[in-house]
Amino acid sequence: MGIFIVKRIITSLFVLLGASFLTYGMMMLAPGDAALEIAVARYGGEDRVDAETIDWIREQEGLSKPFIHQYARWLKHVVMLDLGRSMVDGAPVLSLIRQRFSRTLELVVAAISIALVVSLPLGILAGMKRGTWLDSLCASVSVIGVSMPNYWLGIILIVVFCVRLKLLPAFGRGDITHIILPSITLGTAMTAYTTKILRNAVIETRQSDFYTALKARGLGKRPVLFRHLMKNALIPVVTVIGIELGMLLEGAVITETVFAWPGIGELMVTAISNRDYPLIQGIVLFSATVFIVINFIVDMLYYFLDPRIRMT
Amino acid sequence: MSDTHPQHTLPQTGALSAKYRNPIFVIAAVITCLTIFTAIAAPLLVPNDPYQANLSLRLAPPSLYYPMGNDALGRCLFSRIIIGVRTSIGLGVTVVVFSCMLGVVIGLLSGFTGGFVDEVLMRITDIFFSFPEILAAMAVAGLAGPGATNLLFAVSVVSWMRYARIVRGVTLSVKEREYVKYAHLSGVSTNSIIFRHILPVNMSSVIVLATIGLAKAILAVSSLGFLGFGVQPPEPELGTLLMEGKDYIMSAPHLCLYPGLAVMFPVLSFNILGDKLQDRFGGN
Repeated sequence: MGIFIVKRIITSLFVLLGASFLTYGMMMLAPGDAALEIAVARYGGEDRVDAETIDWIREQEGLSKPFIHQYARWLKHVVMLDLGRSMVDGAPVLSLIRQRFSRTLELVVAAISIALVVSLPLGILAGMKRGTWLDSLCASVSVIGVSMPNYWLGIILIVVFCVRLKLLPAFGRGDITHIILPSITLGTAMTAYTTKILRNAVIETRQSDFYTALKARGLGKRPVLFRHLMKNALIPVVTVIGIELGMLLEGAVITETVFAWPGIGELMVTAISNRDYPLIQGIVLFSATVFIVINFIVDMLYYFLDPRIRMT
Repeated sequence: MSDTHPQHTLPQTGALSAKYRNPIFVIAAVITCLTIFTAIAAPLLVPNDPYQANLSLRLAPPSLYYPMGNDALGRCLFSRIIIGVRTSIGLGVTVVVFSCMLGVVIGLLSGFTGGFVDEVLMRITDIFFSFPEILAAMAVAGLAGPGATNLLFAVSVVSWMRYARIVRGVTLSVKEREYVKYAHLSGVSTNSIIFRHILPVNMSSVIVLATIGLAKAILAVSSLGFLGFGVQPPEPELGTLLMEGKDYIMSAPHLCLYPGLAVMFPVLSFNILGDKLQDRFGGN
């Protein structure tokens, strides 16, 4: 067991290193002279910097050195949790990310809660009553939920609940009512997906030998359902929640833009519009790290939840 | 999840067995055909010039001549959506073609060669998988600047990994089958083994992935358009149309309603088709 965990940690660290390399390499895509851009951001305006200043910045920032040197230098700072400063207002990138991420997290937690509350009963019911109208209804609703573009759903919700019914606020972050529309927008796809996965897991478990054996031994419906069926059917749901957490982070970019929610997605959109390179790098690397950590946790959970994996 | 019906109950009488004649599947197939037709014949279908501004019709509601109303510059929304469908679907298909080719090549190489090459290629795949798709595509498209080529590159570079993983897995297992070994022993060239014996076995999973991938690619392209990092106005693209309409949700909600539906219906039908194909081929 120890070996498994150590192996998994090493792979994760390797992937993280690769991700940091790609993140840094991504910046090479930007056209134009990086030193010039830094100078313009620092002194405000192209007419206020001369060639000497640009050369000085190029030297100082190590931009004249080969790519791999620049990367190593950047990585050294990153390892010490120094992601640099925003080119726009000079604030440390890490603290900007930390502040915004906690707000994204509020949204993500609300969306997951909605998804679980709706999809757990729906998925189990659909799986138990397979082939009935209820099952078909769940299937149709879930494929629609997966296909609905996030941005569009958000706008429709605003039109209905804010413009027409005047029930809920649409923009910004304030009291608890502000989180309702964005979290429904964000949670819909996850609800749909989780329902589908859970339904299939329930069906699969019901077809397994142990389930038949339990029923043959005359166990009541309730204990079979809750003690045995659920335990097995919930395993794929754990994985899905892991994958979904990642998808939620992506969905958050769009949802936050629609609802002007001051989270990490909104920060990213602003960073790209301002061509604020350290901030873009920071956010991309941070989100990749979150992804890798989630995957690691899911693998661990899987390992502890499902003894069958340990045999292989 | 794979097909849950036992295989032997499937009546294999014709190309379309009873299972595939269900109404949802038929509707999805019809929408798919309509979408493809619209994308191909778009310039012939538009009733008005999609770029022609007419300020006297600013934000006008739907009418007989302008079936979906007019946008903030008085342009015909219906015509813009028709051209937008062409742009979004066209970009989506191109993304699928690129990412699919890249993924299949890497998957074949990895699975067939095995050993060190396999290890390296799969770790690279893991690394690309570690980025949130939309966020990474946004960063790439945003950094590289606006333009169709950059957009295609940005979305393709974040979506080839699924193909690579699946193709590698199938290739690994097919490689060990008797008939491949016999072919090898009887002197069939490596190229021929890959293209005639291994690639065809992969096709069913690749087709399933590509169908669902098309839905994802269209969503990604239009999401980037919506965020302002994709196709740039005045060029009509469905996500870009929504971005333009967003500022008028209070006064003219139809500007958002119709482009959104135009994204949703194709994506929905590609997803349904993908699900059905998955049931049929039993991919994962």
